[in-house]
Amino acid sequence: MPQIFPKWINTATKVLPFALLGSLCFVVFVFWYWFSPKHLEVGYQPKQPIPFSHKLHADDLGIDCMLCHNMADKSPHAGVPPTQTCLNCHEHLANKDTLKTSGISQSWSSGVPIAWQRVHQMPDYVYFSHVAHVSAGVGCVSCHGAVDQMEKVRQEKPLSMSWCLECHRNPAPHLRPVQEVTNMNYHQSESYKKMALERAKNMKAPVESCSGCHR
Amino acid sequence: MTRMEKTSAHGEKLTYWRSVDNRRRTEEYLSSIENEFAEGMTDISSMDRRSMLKVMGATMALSGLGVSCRRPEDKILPYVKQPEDITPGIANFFATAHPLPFGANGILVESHEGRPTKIEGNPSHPENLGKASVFNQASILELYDPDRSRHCVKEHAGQRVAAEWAEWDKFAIEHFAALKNKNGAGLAFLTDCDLSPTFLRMKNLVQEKFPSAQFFTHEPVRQKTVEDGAAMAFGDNARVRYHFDNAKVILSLFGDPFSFGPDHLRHLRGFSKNREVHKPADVSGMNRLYAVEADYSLAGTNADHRLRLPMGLATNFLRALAYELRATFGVELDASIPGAQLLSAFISKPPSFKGIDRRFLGVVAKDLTMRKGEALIFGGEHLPKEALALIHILNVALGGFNKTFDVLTVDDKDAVAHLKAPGIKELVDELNATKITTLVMFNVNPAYDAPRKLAFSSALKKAPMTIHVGQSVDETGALCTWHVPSTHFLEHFADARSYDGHITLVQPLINPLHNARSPLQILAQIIGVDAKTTQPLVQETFRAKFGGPNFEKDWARALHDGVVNNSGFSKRSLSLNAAAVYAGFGETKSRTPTKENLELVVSFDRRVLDGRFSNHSWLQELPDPVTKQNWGNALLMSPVLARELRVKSGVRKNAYVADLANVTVDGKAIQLPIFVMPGLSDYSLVVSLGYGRQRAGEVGSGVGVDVYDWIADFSHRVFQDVKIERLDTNTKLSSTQEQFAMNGDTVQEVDTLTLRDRDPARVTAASDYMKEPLRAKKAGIPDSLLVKETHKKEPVPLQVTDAWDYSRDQQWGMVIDLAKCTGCNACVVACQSENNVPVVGQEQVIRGRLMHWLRVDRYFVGDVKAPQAISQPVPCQHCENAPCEPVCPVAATSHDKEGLNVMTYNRCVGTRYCANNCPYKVRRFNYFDFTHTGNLHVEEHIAERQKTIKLQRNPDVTVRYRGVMEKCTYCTQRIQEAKMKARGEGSDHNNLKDGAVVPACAQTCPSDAIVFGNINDENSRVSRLKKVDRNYTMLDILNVRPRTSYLSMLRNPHPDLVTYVDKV
Repeated sequence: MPQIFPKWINTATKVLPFALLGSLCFVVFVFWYWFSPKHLEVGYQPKQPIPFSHKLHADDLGIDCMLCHNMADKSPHAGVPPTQTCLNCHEHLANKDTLKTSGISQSWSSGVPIAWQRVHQMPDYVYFSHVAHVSAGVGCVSCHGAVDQMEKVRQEKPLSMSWCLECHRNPAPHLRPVQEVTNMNYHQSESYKKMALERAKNMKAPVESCSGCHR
Repeated sequence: MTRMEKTSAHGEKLTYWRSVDNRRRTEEYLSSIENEFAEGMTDISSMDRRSMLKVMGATMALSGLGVSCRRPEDKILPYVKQPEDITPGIANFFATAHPLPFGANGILVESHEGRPTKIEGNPSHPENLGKASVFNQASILELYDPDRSRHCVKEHAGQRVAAEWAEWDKFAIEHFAALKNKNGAGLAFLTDCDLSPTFLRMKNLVQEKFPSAQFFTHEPVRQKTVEDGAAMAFGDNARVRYHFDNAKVILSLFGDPFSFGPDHLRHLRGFSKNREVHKPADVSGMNRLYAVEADYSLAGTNADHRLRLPMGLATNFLRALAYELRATFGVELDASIPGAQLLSAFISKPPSFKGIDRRFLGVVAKDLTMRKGEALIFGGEHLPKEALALIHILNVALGGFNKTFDVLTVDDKDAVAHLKAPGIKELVDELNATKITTLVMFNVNPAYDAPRKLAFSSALKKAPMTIHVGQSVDETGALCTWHVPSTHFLEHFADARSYDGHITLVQPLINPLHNARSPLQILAQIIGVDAKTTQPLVQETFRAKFGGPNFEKDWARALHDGVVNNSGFSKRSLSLNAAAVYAGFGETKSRTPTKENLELVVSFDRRVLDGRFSNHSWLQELPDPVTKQNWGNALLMSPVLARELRVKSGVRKNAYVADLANVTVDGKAIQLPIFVMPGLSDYSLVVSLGYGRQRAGEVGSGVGVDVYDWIADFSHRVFQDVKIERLDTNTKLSSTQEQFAMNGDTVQEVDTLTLRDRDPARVTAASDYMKEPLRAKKAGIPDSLLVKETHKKEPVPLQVTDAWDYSRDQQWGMVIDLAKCTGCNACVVACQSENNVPVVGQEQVIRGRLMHWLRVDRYFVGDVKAPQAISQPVPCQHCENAPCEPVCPVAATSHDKEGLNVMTYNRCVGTRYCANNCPYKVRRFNYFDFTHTGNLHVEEHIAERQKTIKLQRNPDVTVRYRGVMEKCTYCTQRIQEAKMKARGEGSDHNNLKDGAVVPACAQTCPSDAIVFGNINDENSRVSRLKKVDRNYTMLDILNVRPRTSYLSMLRNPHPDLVTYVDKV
């Protein structure tokens, strides 16, 4: 009777389970690593309807974040400025061309809002609050990255739940005095580091319960 | 009284029960309650396994198509010019008024970036004082009703076709100009009885311009007999305003002061104020309510003593009471009153006491006289006007004037004229005489709700031009030559008067959604005034009434406050007229109904009133506070008559299977399903109006049975000599009285271990409470669940988890005072509105898939013929040892550090183990995509409807998808909001002020029965209430340690009258 299986099957049966296990692990790793928000979300940089430069406004001109995003310390939403806010300054500039070419004038005269592409997006079941974080002294840069260096805004952080919890479990390194919230280059001084630890302890830590963000 | 079954002083067994089947403990009932889920609850409708598999295959294929790797793009649309007072993400509240047939209510409307989402009561409005009725709250849904018309409709060559506003404008200008040349001859208007000052002013302008034009009014819900009764006793234009807060002994005679009708919120508040008993000494300040009625009203469920009496004996009872008061207890009428002697003589004649419980009568009369100045008799709208007038006279004789009630004068001549305008009957006569060529109708639907015996619809055809101004093409709109869409009250400027005359400005919250115009605009157009907005019209009225040097300031103040101070009707001094009452009374005929000659009471529905709210899905799905039926009406019948007629109506497999019957009144037969209602007068039948509409819209059309055919006159809705014939067919009704049952058999095993004291609702008689304050607490936790801890002397209840330390931080808790709760349902609608709770429809309700997070359980106690009722609101109890948590395989439900049992929807996979394990049955599973948020497939027709409905949703609460468990969250979004606010203000968000967080149910509770707060704060209202002796937690033997506790129900029976409350 001839052999049904060739001889290399002997080795294959020994190797195959390991190979299968290995590839399974690999698939799991691929999903766990590359399919995580760290890779899927970070770097999202959609084209905006108006080539607004945060670098020019926030860095070169030194305009404070909260001049335009003025709800950040009052409301869950930081607020995207109305067209009017652009005009508040640009109307007084000698060169009004940018207004016309960019479409701001059109928005103003037609009453149609500028449709910005959302960069930092949370699922609908997550209720993030700017006022809670700003009033606790978490800087803009902690979640949004160095927006003042961006010509076009891109997502810098994964905004995943585990990333949120990292800070919620150990907030001290991310704290700063409230008046420094919009400072993009703030570094905790040695003396403040101790204070931050103390503060984090006293403020009974940010919520880790589900109800903090999900309702 | 804390045991499931006990023996009364008379040796009769008393039981808590939810329905007749429950009481009899029928085989079927017991087996249905044993199931984890109610029968049919988990089945897919009419689908076998094979088709199920097919669908699953299709779903899988579709899901492959629908999923893409990139997340969907999302846009941010900021304002172009941001309104000054809007902070995106923070709701604004605006004061306005909700015009209702029994006077406008003052409301606050929550608006998210210009989108109204919820209605609450206006704290500065004298009637509402921050509370809102079910009607007020549900009216937000009316705004977003997809069935509202979007364009004009005109008759063209026998067809009704859509028309543009321009066409209407062209027509209206020509048509009314032609009418003006004829001085308005042949022009008639039909409106409701709303006393809006601007509307009345415009009406006068119309009259000036068209001197021959006629005005008619039509308002089914208007309580004409009540108005006439007041006028008969106190003179013309009198309005009686009751002050239940000053009344300690109340007799409700065939009335329902709490469900709807004038001032019912004020009544609820006043009544429950005197039910606040926190210590035995408070019992002396408690009121006592007697109810005499044929049907079962909210007055009946809250009564300390309830007497069943057919309506046919109503005037007899009243005469007997008057006789008793005068003859036995010496209550005299003031001799100076005109006609007093005649009336006294009439009263002194002993009436027939046949059919009247003299013992009850004697006790009531004695109690009323003992508490002179604090006694009140409240007469219902079904009584004849003479009877109501006599009640007023008795009230005065009992010293209640300006104490338990006061009398107002409708002192606005326009209002008086409007109230006295000819009614629908006169209009039909004119129409039939073809004297009317153009009929304009505002906010009325007589083709459905006019007394059908008048045959309005056929009379309408005799007018060549009929114009209907309304929010949708209803039964009347469909018959008219023109239908003109009108705005909702949240879309226009107007004004309104409350029952006591207070003027409130109605301000728009949103631009008209469907290009509609307000009725005032249409009126303005008729008189040739150009009105782009109605604000100048309202301002002109305001200036004429309250004009002063600071007009702008006063106007702004009135808009902001939502009420014009001191604009109410004036109080009048006492001037009685007994002569008219005596003359009116004559020889009263009494009728005792029998099996052959039954009595029928036709009342307005507690949820849809006369049918005007038929298309409100929230109100349709709201279980009636007494019958617990939703989605429709039925013929209510006493168990006695049901047995005699061999009616088998009852709960079978979760549905209420009702036998049908032919009911004949004055020769007109209507087929109705029979609902057996314990506590009804034996041979009285009750049915409600407002159902069986043809053109209510997608929600309300065809729900229930229309009984308007019996009505000839709204003042006479009690019929005698009614015949009934039971048919051999039946139909399915939806009733939630058996659903989510947790009483009794579900906890049988635990019961055998230790305790008998496991009644969810507990009742104590006030006198017993004084003797033994801790009576309600008796149950406690069984010894087997106590553990000995080393550092503590007493053994403590076993704690399942030590994840959080509940002795620290703020810990949320709730107390519901059953003595104050009247079961009015306002909390249920508030919860639905706040928490985006979906509506499921009748078919799904029958399957037990009702989604209400907060339900109001109604229990009966005692005899099946004459039981007492208790209402108990049941939200999630937020157990510290929550049984739902350990069984969740994915930890989707867990505790937070402030003691909330939280539900994380995005984690839930829908095993439903938690709902199985919940002893209180408060968890709701979203079996279908009830919210229609599905991103795979929503039928086009439904997607279209959702376009407006979804605008109502609260953006602070997740809209749940199917396959997810959900439940009461203690309004966690409001807790978070309060914390955000505190953070923004720089105060401590971990130690919020008492009252900073108010859940929607507690916010709107008209009787303030629900209190919420931090139980770790010793001084908070909630922790003070938790220390009250009557405090108990439901099913406490389970040691689940709920955060929601109850103050036991207190009845205040008269010591001489024990039969109606058991005294165990």
